[in-house]
Amino acid sequence: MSNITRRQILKLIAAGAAGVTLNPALAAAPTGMLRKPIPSSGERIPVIGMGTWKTFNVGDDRELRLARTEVLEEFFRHGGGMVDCSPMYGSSGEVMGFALEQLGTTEPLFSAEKVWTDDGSATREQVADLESTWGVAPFDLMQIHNLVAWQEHLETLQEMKQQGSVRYIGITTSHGRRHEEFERVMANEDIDFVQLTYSITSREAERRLLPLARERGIAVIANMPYDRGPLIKGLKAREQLPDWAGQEFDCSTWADFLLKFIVSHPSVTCAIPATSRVDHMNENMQAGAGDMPGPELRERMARHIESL
Amino acid sequence: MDDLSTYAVADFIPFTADVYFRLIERVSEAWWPLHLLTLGVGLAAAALAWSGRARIAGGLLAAALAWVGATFLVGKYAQLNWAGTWFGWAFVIAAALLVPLAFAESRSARRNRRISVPGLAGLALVVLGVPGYPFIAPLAGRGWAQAEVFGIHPDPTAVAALGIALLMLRGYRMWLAAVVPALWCLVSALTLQVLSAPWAQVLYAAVGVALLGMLWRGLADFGSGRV
Repeated sequence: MSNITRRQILKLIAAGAAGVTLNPALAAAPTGMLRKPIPSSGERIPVIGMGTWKTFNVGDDRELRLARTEVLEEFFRHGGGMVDCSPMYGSSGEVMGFALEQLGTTEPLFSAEKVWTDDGSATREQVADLESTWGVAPFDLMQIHNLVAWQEHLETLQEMKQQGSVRYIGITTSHGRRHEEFERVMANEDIDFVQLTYSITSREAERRLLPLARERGIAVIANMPYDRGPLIKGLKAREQLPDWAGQEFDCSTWADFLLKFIVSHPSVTCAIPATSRVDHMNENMQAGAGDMPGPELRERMARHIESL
Repeated sequence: MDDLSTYAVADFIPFTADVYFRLIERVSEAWWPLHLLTLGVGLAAAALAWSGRARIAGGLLAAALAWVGATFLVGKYAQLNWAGTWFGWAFVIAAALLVPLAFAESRSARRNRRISVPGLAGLALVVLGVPGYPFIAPLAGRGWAQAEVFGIHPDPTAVAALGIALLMLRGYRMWLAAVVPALWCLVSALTLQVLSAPWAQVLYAAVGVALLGMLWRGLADFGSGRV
């Protein structure tokens, strides 16, 4: 393909390597971050990504923008890749552009954005705006936010993928909304990714969508891994990690417990917890390394959470 | 169509508490010492409304609403919330509407010197919105830097607008002038509730007091044959 960029080639070369970043400023020891393949290409991406809903929406506040830059730097230092955003998230895209500019690199990044407009003819225009906002082109993944005008957007995105204007395409939902329509799109359309809500307390996707993703060779991004935040806050405030968790697999924090549950599902490619804090980013990223629970242990984990 | 029952109010608030309260603070810093002027404008508008000079009162209040809509909501808040532009334009439209409403009221030469329940409700809202509101942040432990001021921030401006509308307008004009400020108070109260700010209740109470005063005035006018 004539329009493969240097960045894409580097990513393909790096596929499968363990989280060593390409910018010396971000260089760190290999992190041991688990990587899973995108079924449609075989390219492997880190199982812990980063969401930006609320956390990166800080407007033009320079102090907070610099603080978020530190969070992104920590994410890359731990071998992170996917950052997910949307035009619906206020200034998050602009803040991401600012942070990438401050760090002086987009190399470790697997950029995931969304088209979010009722105007089905505005796909290319919105993607171009987002590229300009982030300072990134082409995006690695362009998704259709909450299936808004999905038929028109999908047709255009498929053309753009053919032309090399985006690398992967997908659709998103959250909180179990529109799963029937979501399932129809997964079953009938040619897409690389789906993004949906999946966590230890929101397991609706296990019934049909996750098996279908596996069957159709679609990568899965799990959003809301902490159920909007209260799940992990409540656990940290009130509960002790069960002793057996640390004995059975690498689990020393509630972030490990909740995130490993998600990314150990065979159909899930990555989870995208969001945070505005460097210490929380550290916790999140640790969860992508070490032993993962198997099916029996996952059920035990779910039963334990139900019992609390 | 998505099932609305699957949404929480938090799903419509795309920012965190620290970011929102820093915005309040940064806007305050940016415009200081304009606060002294806007507080004076608020008090003058209330006094003029009380004395029946609705034209000037309406003009002053309209200027404050339009300024807050343009500078705070469109200029800053819209960076955090895509709906901020709509809210900002709603403030500007409310300001534009207020001018003819106040002029029409002025021609009827009504004065409001008699103490009444709607008048007291209007005064209470003006006291809360103009001299009272800056004290809420320090009383809530957030410090003076995050104090919200009439003519600079939308919440006190909307609360005072409800009070001034009650003092100077009647009938459909009063109701029309109150629509945008009341809606903003409810939107902001829901936002503050999501952000775990206890003074969200102040805004609910302000809307309740305004509604009570307006209904009282409407019934009184109906009973006296004014409507």
